[in-house]
Amino acid sequence: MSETMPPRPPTTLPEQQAVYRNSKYQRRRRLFSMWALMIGLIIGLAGGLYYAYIINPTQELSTRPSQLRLDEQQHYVVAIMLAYRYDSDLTTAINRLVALELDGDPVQVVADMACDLARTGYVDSTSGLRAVRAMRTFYQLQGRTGCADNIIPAPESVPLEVVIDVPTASPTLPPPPTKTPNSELATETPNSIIATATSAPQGTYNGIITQTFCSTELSGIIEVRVRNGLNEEVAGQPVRVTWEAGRSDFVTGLKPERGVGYADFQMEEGISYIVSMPQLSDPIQNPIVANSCFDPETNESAITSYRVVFVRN
Amino acid sequence: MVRVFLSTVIGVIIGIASGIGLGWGFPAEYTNSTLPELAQSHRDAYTVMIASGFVNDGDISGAFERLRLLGVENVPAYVQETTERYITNSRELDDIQLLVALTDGFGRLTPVMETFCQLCEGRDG
Repeated sequence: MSETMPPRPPTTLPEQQAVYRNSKYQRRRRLFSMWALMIGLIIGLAGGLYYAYIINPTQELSTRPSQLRLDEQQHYVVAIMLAYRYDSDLTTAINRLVALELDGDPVQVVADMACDLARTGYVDSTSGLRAVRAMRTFYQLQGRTGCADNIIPAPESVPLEVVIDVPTASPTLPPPPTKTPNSELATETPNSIIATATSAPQGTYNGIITQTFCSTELSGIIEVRVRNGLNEEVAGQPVRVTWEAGRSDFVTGLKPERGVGYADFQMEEGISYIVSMPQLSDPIQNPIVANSCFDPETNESAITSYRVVFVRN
Repeated sequence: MVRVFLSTVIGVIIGIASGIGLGWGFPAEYTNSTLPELAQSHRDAYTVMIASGFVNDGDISGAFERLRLLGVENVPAYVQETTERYITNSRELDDIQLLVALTDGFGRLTPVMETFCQLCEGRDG
């Protein structure tokens, strides 16, 4: 016995199937409503962004100095100037200033900032005054000027002539008892004496670094010039360069072709030097460091050179 | 109706997550920031620069005031911590010596710093 199944009749007629496919009531429904999902997404995105940027923004931990506001940048510039006063590394100082992305010439901006600080109570403290002086030294060495030049007083010079009041017990000494007093010989002791320095004291000359430069021809040179009060160069003046391992004394005028008040000294790379005029000046406050530098004209490395001027007060 | 409601809720949740992710992942770049918000590397550089100033002029109160601008509660402790971190990470010797001198100025010199105390006040190294 073999059973054969009769063919199944079609469930729907072809024309009926077409009708069912086109009916939204007969289509299989999506799990989500796309419209509702999109609207929810937009609302949620707006809320999430508002929360992340306004209500609870991330704490900024990667701020660069260039993102600081102006008054905070002034503090940062002060720090740069303090470091420059310590190491006299002009390249590093300039690079740090450039990183601040200041508008215009960064050195002139330092002059302007020094001007702003000098006009405020910032210079009322010794620290503030010292900082503004460091800024002034920096921009003056680069040939810039600012109002701080006039606002901040220069360090006081040491007077050559000192008047000392000496109180005396009596104007005349009592005569010896064995001799006849002679009023004509009695001289009046002055109440004050004038002490004139027989040798120039410390501080007769003020020394400053007027310029730093980088040149392969004049690599690592300290050029010293000594001038008198009339701004004329003076020959035969002693100059001393001191470094950790020793010192060198020389006098001006040994290279008359460079000027009668000229003398120079060859530095070695990486060593810090102090320049002074023995018995005539205090050492220049800024250390002179023989750092390597890059000569822009020859595109070769060299050692930073310095120009130093001692001027008689 | 339930389907629409659930879709909206799911959309809102995805949207909030995306918004917060974008906001925190790509934070706004601020231009009026303050010194306490400086990145760690720049805070370190600032601290070393202030230490240079201190070594030059011995003005410990000036250094204190300038470091206070970084927003640290305890400036001497901050300097000590920074110095120890520099020593631990074998940073530039010059920077370490400057920081050690400043730490010494604040009276927080530790035995491990003694080796680097060449710039400390009143010492020949």
